Amino acid sequence: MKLKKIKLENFRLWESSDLSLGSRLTLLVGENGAGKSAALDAIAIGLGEILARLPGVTGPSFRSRGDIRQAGNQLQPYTRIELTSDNGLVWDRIKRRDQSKQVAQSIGKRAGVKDIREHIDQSILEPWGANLPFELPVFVSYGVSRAMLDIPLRRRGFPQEFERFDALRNALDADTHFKSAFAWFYYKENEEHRLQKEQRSFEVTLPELDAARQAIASMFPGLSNPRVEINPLRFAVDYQNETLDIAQLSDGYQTMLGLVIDLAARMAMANPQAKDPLAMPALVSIDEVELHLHPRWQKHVMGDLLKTFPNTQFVITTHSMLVIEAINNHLKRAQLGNRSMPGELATIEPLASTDCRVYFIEQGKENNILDEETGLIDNRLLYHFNAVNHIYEQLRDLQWEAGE
Amino acid sequence: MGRTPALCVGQYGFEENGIRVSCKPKRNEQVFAIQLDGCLLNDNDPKCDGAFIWQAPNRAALLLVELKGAGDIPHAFGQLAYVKNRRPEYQQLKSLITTPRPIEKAFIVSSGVISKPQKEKLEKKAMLGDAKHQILFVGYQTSGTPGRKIQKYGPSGGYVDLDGQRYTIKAGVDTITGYSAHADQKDLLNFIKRMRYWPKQVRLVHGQTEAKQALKAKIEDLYSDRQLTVDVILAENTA
Repeated sequence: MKLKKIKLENFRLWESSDLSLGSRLTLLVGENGAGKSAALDAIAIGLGEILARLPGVTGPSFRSRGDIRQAGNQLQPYTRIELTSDNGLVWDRIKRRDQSKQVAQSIGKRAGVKDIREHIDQSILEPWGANLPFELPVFVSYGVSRAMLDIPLRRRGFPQEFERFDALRNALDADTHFKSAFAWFYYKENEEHRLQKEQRSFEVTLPELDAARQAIASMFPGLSNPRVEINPLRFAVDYQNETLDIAQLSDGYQTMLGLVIDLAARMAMANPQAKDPLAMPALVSIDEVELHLHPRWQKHVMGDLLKTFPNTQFVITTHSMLVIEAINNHLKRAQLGNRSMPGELATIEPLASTDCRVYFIEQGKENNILDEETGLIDNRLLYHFNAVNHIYEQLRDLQWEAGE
Repeated sequence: MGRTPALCVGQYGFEENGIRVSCKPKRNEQVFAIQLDGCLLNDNDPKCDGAFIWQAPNRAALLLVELKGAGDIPHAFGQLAYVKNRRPEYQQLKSLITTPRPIEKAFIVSSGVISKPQKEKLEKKAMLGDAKHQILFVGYQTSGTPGRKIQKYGPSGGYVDLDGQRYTIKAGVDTITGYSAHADQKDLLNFIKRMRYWPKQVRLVHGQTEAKQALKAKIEDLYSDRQLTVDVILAENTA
């Protein structure tokens, strides 16, 4: 299931907006405090309804205060988040200012949650209860606090088993998830070792673990042999003939590796029977995708993610003009169709502009900046680059006029 | 900021307000840097800063150059297009080159950048001055519109103002009648179907967004049935 649309009413800065989402990528740009992260939170709250229906999993809901928009020193009567899925399901979640009749009346007709609950019952819970195959969609939200990896120092508290629904545990909290992905990796490696002993062959591998290894290899061509080591407990990778603890890696590597391990683990956990778990449907939101990444990496991070997770719907915020220009290249590549490409160009992942939405957010209001005629993004961040250069030119003019 | 014309620096370069460009010859090559603005071109019509003539044993190039600050890149496109397509001096420079079919290019040198959609639109608009292109009007253009001006003055080499920039029309301009502007979706699809060679690009310029999108989808279906590709472009509604 993918999301087609999100409607925000009186949510934090957002007064009333309908955001249609790209089936592969929705990109939000805008200044600090414009409402980008609020939009990601709104998606998480809307999807929280699905998580709350699943056994052993909780989903985020509205905060006790601060979510209802304030205007003229007055809280609006309610806030509403309405989601529409690509298969036509509509549901909404509401937080009321108070329980008064007046507030209830102001809300009017609402979609409610009956349809989405029924859909989850039929497509997930009933087949699960009857031991029949079912597809579990993955929803994960990565906030900026993901940069602080919660690396475990001991195995105490590691779960003794993992179920499919654990793929969605704390998934929409936008917090750091590394510890649980670490524990899953450790648990699965043990399972793999037992299997290898049983069958007296080191060739046997667990498909779920292979999926996670494949994701790491695809995102980090320089890193190999990711594994958990004990005494001391650490997540280790090989890098240029050195064995490194993830804690030794730079912040950029840590942040991105933590995200990829977590996402790949969740996808493998959710649909372990799938031929390619990484290609199963998922919705992933990432706040500031360029967090801690050098410009060199900013150029290819979105392409790597789109390629590694080919059926994932990404909702991304960025302050990086390089991330945007790189996406322009993916859009341009798609415009050229299926022709063969020389050299480096052959590696550029195509992204159809019809699968993409780009919004410039200003004061909780969205402006479409994916130009309809050219199918390319009007990169507003370039203005700031030009402004910096313009100042330099003015200073240089003064220097020249003074004859220096 | 006053406008300082570009200056020749050294033998092979130009410089304006701290932006500098040069074209240095390698062995067996020759380069001439010709200052246009304030030197060869002194009128008030659009002009660019300079030109390089590059001459190798079997190849040659005529390269127009405009140096621009970070704030004013869009104008450069019109300036270069005007010099290339409209100025007799450009043809004179070209006639100095004896090598057949010299490479003709135009460069903007700037410390700033413009967004990709703006760049593509400016490049497309600058092509209006290219004699290789043909504009075909299907019927009437309302008076006072740019379309009317192109239709009326185009054949006699006139000009049109678009977004505050004057463009000389060198493209061929023709008008055909007999196609009703009020065809329905089926008629429009049949119009394409009946062509011997289907167009590679179709622009839907008039109509409600939903209707245009529906027609775009139909056209794309039509092409994919024949395993052909088409680029259907929706113009933004201006009405």
